[in-house]
Amino acid sequence: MNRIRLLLFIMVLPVLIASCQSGRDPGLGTEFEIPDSVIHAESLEISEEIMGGIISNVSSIVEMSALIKDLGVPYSNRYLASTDHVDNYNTNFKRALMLGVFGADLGYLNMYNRSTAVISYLSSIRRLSDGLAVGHFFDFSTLRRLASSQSDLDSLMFISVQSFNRMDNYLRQEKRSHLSTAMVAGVWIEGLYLLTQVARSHPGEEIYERIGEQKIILNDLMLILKNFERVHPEYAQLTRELAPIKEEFDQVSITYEIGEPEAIERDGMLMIIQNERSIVNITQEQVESITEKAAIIRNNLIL
Amino acid sequence: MRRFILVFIVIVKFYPAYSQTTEQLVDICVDRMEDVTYLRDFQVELEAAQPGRPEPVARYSMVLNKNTLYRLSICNAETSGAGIIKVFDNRGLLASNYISESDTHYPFFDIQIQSTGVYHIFISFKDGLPGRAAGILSLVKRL
Repeated sequence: MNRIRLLLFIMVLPVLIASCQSGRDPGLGTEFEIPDSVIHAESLEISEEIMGGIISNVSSIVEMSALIKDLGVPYSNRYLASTDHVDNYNTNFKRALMLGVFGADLGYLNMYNRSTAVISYLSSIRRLSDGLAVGHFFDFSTLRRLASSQSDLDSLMFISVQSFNRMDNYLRQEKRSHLSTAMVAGVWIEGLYLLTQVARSHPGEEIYERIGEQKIILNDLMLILKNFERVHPEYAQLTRELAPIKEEFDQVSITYEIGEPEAIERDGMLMIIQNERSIVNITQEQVESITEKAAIIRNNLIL
Repeated sequence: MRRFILVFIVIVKFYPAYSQTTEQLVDICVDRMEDVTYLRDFQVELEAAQPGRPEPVARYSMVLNKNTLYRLSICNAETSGAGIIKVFDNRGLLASNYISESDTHYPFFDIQIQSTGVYHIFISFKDGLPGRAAGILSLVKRL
């Protein structure tokens, strides 16, 4: 009898180890229920899977910040949202939206190695993500340590970005795509605000072009926001606020010069060169109008 | 009794190698990266291809920006088939870490993007073998 028990224990052991070690969904099953997360699949016009693909299409804030830094634009905290009002963000929609805004600002701060300010943003991100029951995706003690010591700023950037990616994936897997969408909208609005404010003080073809390219993302973003309008009224409100800026982007045109890609092997490394080129046609007046509208939307958001 | 203890020790000792998670593969892949900035990972677990059916493929899409050099890396579990990562634009295949003509497999490749838009990233395993892998998209530099 004892042998059978021991044998059963040995058979069950790998399963126990696997359940302890699984890193795919950290925190899975530890989340408490949030009433407004319950969305009935039949009320959505776009499936969760397709929506997931669209959400991922929002351009990375790291790249946007890298562009700003490469243009030689000095760091300025004037571009950033204040963390003073974090307690006012008391609905899940607002928390998710602001999580995106602060996430974008965190990307900017990381790019400029502003580790002291990073700590303040991390505290706000912690409060908002705890409010959404996704705080376990951020290893705040490690992030704080990295920010305080300034020893490994690459790791700080990596862990910050990875934590946001994991949180976003988790929200989608848990059928809470509406929160993922709000977060992505927050990232996009803050990113556009950042770009347009920089363009105001440092105008140039490259930054104008990047602003114009936001047309591609806004079209998708509007599509997924509209998807939740019937279930959550806050999404209808945000769509209405974004409508004037969409009208402005509709006037921007993007054309393409077709070319075949080339593959080059050098020192055992493979490099692919794309020879198709995109050309954005955007005027200074259009940039100014987008800048004005982006500031109105973003400043309303962070109140 | 001694035999059971031996089995127990063998399971505990070798289980971690067998259970290398996709999260661990991301960390392995990121540790190998030098002078690049991590942007996103793609964690993939695929079953073996079934006879007469298409090979399993994991699909992702994302916006890549003009005048930017990106790196796509892949790290697969030791027990997996060789991971293949492909990038498609709306006109077709743009890049891959596997060149079928020469049967050459690269752990990563760099891709110089000249057209901002949505790109599709497909990850599969050579010959439709089952596998577990992590693909990493990183920023090398702006051009």
